Amino acid sequence: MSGLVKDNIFGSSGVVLEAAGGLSWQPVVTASTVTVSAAKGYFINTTSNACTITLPSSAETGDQIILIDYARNWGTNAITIDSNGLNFQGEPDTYTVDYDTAGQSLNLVYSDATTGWTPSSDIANALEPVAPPTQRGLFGYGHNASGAHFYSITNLVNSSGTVASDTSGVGTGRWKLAAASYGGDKAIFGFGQSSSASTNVSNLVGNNGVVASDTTGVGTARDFLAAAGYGGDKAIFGFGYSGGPTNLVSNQGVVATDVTRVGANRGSLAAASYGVGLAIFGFGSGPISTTNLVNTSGVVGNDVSGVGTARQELAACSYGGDKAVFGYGFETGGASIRSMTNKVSNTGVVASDTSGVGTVRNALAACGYGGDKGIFGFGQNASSTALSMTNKVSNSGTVAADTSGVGTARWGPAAAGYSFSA
Amino acid sequence: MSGKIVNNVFRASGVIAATPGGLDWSTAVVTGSTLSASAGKGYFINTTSNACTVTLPSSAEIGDQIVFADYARTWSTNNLIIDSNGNNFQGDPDTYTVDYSTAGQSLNIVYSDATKGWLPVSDDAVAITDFVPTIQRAIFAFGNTGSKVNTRNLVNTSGVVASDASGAGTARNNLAATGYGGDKAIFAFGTAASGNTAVSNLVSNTGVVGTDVSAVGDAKGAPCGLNFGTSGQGLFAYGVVSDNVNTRNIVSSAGVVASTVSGAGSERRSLGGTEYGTGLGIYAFGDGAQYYGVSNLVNTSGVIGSDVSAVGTARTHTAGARYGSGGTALFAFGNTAGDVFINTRNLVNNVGVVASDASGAGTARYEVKAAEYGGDKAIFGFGAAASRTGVTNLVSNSGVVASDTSAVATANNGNEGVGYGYS
Repeated sequence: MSGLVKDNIFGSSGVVLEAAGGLSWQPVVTASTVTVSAAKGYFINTTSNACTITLPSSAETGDQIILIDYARNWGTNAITIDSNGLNFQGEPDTYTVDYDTAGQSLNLVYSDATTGWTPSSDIANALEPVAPPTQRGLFGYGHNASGAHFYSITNLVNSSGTVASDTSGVGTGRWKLAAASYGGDKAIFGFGQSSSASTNVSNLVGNNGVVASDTTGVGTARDFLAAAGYGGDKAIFGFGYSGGPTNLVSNQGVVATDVTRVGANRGSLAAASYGVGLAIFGFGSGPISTTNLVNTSGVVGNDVSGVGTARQELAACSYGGDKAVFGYGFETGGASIRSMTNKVSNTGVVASDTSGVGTVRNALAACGYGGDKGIFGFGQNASSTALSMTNKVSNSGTVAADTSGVGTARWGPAAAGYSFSA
Repeated sequence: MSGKIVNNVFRASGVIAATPGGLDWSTAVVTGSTLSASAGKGYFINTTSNACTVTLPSSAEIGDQIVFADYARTWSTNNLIIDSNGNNFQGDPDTYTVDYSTAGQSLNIVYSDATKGWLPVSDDAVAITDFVPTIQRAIFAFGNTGSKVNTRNLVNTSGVVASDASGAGTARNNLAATGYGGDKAIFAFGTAASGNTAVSNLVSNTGVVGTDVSAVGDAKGAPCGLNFGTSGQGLFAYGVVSDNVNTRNIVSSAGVVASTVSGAGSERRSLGGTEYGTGLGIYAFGDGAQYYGVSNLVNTSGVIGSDVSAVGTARTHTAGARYGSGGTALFAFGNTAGDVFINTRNLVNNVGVVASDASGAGTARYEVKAAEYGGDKAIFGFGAAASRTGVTNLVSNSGVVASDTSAVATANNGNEGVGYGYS
């Protein structure tokens, strides 16, 4: 017995134990081994390594120990219980006891020599926090008619949907790229086509809207792909020219290597988040109106038959908290540029065409703003003239008429939401 | 800090906190839409009427623990919302939304550090394991033994009928009965010496019949009663006023008969009725413009459906009862056209489908009454053939009707039977 008075209570034998009135909770454990004591609680952080937990070599009825997956990482690096000569669930110490479920907590109680340590619970707790919606957005990068300008400029969108003038560019100037939110309140631009060739570089955007310099590329360099957030705080890039795979983006903004594509091989598509942690890729070259749903783990589903006018070089954004809308694009040939939209329900069902509002155009971008609204912006018209007008999307999915353009007119930009603050 | 020494323990920092050795569950059930929670306490959160936003302490130290329990199993309707008050929750900042929305959930959180903040020790949804007990006893009462009577015969948990005992209330026959409030029963309506009546008599959970409760609804004879819903409600329906009717009177879980409301299905009398499935009922057979074989399902709100085409032979003066533990029931006995007395039975499955006629057992007769007993069995009793009788027939928990058990009670027709008592 040692330490503070509060760390010592009576065990069932009457012996004074090292324990608090309830349990004595210990500082976070990050090591690969720890020897634990009865009447204590431990936060086990296995972010960097698995952890072998050695239970006391002697125990008495009612001794209790709680172990909690501190970083929800036991699914990657498991904890291993060494029952130190005593039984565990009736089995001897020679048996292997691993707990390997993310979010698990293990509440152990010692019964007797026969059964030894028994879990009174070993449930995996759900991850409950849900990120608030992003309040701001930004359009970034793009190209214009002169053919010589591959921009890296950005235009911030405030929580009222007002587009700011150009912010000087950072990173490789390019177009035909994609962007999505990640980490709750940050964004990432990735891939695209620079003056020389397709690229796989990415540029992180902080929750203050500041774009970072190039991050070395991961995954197949390509353009005319799409991206969306999924799983609450992660993102996915997918499809693109040609034979494009998908690449998951962690909640830290790290792009993973290629995942073999599922669904129709296409570029010039669009993507947006919908539901709770879900995403949808839709439409694209052909043109087609096929969609592919993305689950909360970033797994892309098989092709879903198209609804609405097949078209490509369109854009998509979320609205209403859990719905999305595809809009604009062209059918076949540059003369068939459209402004119709197709709403996506919170279960991922695409509705038929809604008559277009605003200037018909293609090669535009879209993102959310104000928590539950969206905005389409930029693009080009049938005369291949670069545009800068925007069209707000209400929280019921209604597209407003053109708002006069601010910033350098261009096509092939990308857009994403960022910032929890209005 | 206040009160007894046992109500005060040491927090991780060594500071004495106002909590008992474990958690302090002394706070009253929380029904408000907001709560400021404190470390070391447990709270029963009742969201029956509204969601509840719980604000956690603005400062916490490692090992601080708070438990929240879904008091009324309504968190799925009205959520528990956590405001982490500037601290992290599962590693995410206070700006994130944290809702707990599963019925029966309990949330046990402990504070780790500034990085991860509050972490759940458990967020399990506990199963509801307290099932309503089953009816163990039955009572046959009132009827016609040569004259109208209010005597009663109790049936014990083994299906043994006791001899006549004195009753209470207006002597009458052609009445109806149903359970209410889980373990009590009510007799109502019937034909007294003065004609049809709408008085009712409550039966306690010890089988004692109360005096007349003033009439509610139309005075009528030969209606039929059954249980419905999961809150201990009953229903009387059909019968004859000046003509056959299909009107109904709902009985509350407190045994109060409501006024008459419209019903559905063929207007008729002397039909059978029983509960089936979970909280559902079924009426079947009876006579009016003709002898009927139709049935009418009753939903969990006591609403009667339109006629379901006949499966069994049309008949009247039959009875129905529940048996087994899987929501099954049966109708048995009665008389078909030409006053042919039968002991035929028709089983009812747990979705209310009536099976075709099956052979029965016991003396073929009409005006037989039925009730549940012994948790999962039933008993048919009394009635008349060439003459009135007091024999009974036990029904097993698989729906098999046994041969006659010799009469103990006075021969009676026009009485009524119903289950009561959990003991």
